[in-house]
Amino acid sequence: MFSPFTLFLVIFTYLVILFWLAYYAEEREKKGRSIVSNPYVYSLSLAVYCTSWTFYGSVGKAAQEGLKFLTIYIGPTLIAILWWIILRKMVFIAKEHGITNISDFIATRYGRSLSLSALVTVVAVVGITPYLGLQLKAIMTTFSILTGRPQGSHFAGWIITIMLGVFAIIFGARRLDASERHGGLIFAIAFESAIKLFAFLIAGAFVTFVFFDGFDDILERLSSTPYSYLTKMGKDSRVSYFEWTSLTFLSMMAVMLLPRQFHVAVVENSSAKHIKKAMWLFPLYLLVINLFVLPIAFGGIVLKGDPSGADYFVLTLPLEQGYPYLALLVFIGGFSAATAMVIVESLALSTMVMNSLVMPQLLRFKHVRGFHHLILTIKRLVIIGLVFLGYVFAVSIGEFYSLVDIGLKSFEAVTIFAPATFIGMYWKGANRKGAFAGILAGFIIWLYTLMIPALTRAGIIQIDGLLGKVFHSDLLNPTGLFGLDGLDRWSHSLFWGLFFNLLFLIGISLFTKQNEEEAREAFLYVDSFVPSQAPGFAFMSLKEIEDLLTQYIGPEEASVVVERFLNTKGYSRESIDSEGLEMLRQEAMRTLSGVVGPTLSDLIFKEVISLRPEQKERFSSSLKEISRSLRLSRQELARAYQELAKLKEFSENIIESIPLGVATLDEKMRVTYWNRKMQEIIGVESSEVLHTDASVLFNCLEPPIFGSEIREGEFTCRRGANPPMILKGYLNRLKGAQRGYVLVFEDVTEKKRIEEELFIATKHASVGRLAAGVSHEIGNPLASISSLVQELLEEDVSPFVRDSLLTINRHIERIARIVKSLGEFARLYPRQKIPTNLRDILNNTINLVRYDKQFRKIEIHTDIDGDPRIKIDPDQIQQVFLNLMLNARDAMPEGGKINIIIKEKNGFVEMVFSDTGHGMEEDIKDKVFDPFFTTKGPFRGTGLGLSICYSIIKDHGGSITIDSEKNRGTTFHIRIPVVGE
Amino acid sequence: MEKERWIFIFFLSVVLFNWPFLSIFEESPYRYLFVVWAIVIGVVFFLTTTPKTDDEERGG
Repeated sequence: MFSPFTLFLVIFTYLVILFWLAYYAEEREKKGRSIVSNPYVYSLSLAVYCTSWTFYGSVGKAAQEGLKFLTIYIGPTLIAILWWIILRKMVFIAKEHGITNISDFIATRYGRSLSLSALVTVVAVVGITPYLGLQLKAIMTTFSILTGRPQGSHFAGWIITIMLGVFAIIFGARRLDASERHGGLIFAIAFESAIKLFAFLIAGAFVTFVFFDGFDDILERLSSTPYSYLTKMGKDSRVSYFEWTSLTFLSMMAVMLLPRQFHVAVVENSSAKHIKKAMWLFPLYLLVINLFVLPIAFGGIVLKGDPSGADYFVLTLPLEQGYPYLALLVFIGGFSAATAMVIVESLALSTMVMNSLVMPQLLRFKHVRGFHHLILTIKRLVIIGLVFLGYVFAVSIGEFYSLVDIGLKSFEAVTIFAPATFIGMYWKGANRKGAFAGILAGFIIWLYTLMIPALTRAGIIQIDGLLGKVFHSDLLNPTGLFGLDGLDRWSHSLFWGLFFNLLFLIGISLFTKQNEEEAREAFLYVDSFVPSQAPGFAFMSLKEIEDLLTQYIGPEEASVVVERFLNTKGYSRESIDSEGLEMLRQEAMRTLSGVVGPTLSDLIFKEVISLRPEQKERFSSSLKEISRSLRLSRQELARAYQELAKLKEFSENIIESIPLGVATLDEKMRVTYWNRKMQEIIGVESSEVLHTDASVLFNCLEPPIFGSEIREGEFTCRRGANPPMILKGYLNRLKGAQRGYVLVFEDVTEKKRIEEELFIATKHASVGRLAAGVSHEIGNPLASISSLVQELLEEDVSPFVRDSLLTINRHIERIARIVKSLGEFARLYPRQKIPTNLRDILNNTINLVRYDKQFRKIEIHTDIDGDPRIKIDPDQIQQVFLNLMLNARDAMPEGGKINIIIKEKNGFVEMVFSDTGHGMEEDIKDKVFDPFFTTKGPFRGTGLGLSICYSIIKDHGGSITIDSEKNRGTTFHIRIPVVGE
Repeated sequence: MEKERWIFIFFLSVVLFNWPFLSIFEESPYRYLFVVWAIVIGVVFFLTTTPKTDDEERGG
């Protein structure tokens, strides 16, 4: 046993060490060599979650109800998996708004609602004060156990409460800037987390391996006691799966929403990266600190015979086994757990109380001299008040409950904030009315289903008479609300609380509207968290900002804030510009929101920038004038825009409807525009060519238009088996502000074909007129000469004369043949077209040539599809067939093959005459239909055969073309339309 | 993808720490619970220390 004085000395020394550590950490931070801003200290500070409830209560819970206590640590492990998504977002939002507590976090989301902030604070204070009391109860009880003097514990508790209150003030309320992180405090908390872990592990190891032979030994000995069910789950144990899930959920919410957890996890976070490490370090801490809970709990039962007093097994076991100094170490560990919680929780709660409840009332005294001292004093009083409220709870009703019971009630209380917080972070539609109603409903359910039964059991309130009848009715029974029986009290309260909370939050949000402020904050919370835009001018001067800060946080702190800003941003008091002033104003707002909350901070700055009446009037008239000119400008702008839109549409219509392919290219020859005609010419959709290299798209061109000197001219585009396309195009630079090129193409293939045909037709017409004249003028004298020669031959003349006359006669026949051909060419004789079978004409023609000896060496193949009948002049068509076959014969002096195909297709009769002759050169091919063009020499051909064929086919409305290649033969294609009978 | 990955692991862990998995180990659940607990921490450690992926810098 230890004397009270010794324990007080230990406590005081421990607190002094804590304070020294905090001071050291702060000094290091000031010198820029922080030992706080790292993920390990951050993770250890999060372990403020493990209070004396963990240190003592977990063992108590395990000894009473088995494994159920683990839910309190598995819940945080689970939610930590989502920290990178949820906690990081909370940190971003809080930093941007200068938020320093959970009530401001919720209230700011719902349009900086003071009423909502006040409600959250009330719920938190009512719900968490018992939790504060729990810590004090643990310290007082352990103090009594160690001193062996239970009667003096209330006095000891009183002294310890004062000490903790003072330390909370020293750590958290030495000055007025809650938005600044408390590096010293966090380092001290992290140190305490390390101490409590160390103490618990040492105690656990002692119980497991010194008092027993390991955990298996403890389990074996427990199995022979009536408490062996504690190691099991399910039907044979006291752990129901429903309660297990409810408790896990409660602890998931608690680790996010308890004011102290929000403070260390969100407000004190110095880097989002620390969250990532804490996601596994914090759960690891929880795992390790729970390793020896079961051995201590079960070991205690084995040693003591039953689980009574199990809440303090971790202390009593070493003490009873003769290890007082181990018990003292355990006491320090438990004290660490309790003090860390009391300091951080009272600090967090005091900030909530100040911002939400005190400051709105206190603002009316803002002009009082030394206003900042007033704020600071009140904040300190609030801290002391909260700690003493906890003390009152601990000594009055705390004795009736286990540590776990008290803690879980607080968990249930903060879970009330979960829907408004998390739904508000991810659903823009959630509004203030819904959030307020939801939290209020949750709070009423919490009071009715958890607190009233608890106070009734403690005998603090008596329920009899009408109230008794209500409470014992089936419908309104607090432990079986609306007839819902069979649930444990935590699940029961959680279910109804969440049900009404969500019902009101979602239901009211869906049926009522948000105001503008709410909608703006909802957007900032849910969507994109962008830093607010600094306007181009400032309403306040540097002195005004500093004076305003001085009013609330005092001249020294105000000066520190301003100087720190100037140094960080590289401004001086003289050189700061309007943008810098606006940034300073925002920084000052954030600082002030740490003192009075974001809602009031916003109001204070709005009030300062409000104008005096005469300024307002001037400003208003200027504003009216500006707004009038803006209205005019807007109308003009709208008109101009309409004109521009019309013009654009007009130009686009023209470009799209012209029969020219138009494309624009950028400086790198990539397509930026492509009209419909260009799509037709190149055969690629405009959507597919944008930003494509034009040289790739136009690689079919000969000569190439890109990369050569040719920028304008005629190009042939050959693509696969398609007939070549002739394009006329040019490439030119865009003029004016536009950069790049314009490319224009015209498809002149058809035009070229018609031009060629026209040229040939004109040539034929003029030659035809000439031939008609010649035929007429020569034909008549020739007939006279011929008859005279015939008459002279009948006379008796000398052999010489006869021979001469015969020679003359041969030449006359030759001239007559030419004249006849000329007549044919000039179409001197009227034609008559009658329906004729082409097969018959072809067969006649073949029979005609069969007697020519040169045809004996030539094979003639015919392929006539069906019985093609068309309306033609049979003599003329036979002439065509004959001319083509004679030409083929002349091309094959050594013999060969003639293939003739005739078929009807698409309203035309197609005739193909091909031979295997010597073919012809490209330049000759172009001239074969010209009159008097022959390659056979003057005595063999007149040069009119193919010209006549051309004329006859044209006369029938058809076409004749030639394909020929040197030494590969020649093919004639004839097409004649099938016309009606 | 990272956001979805964390949500997947969260729900998987919730399932592992609840009925019906717990009922499978009803007779000695403490060993199962501590092993799964350690595995979950290990997985989170592994994922937080692997190189960054596409949308890592975008929060929830």
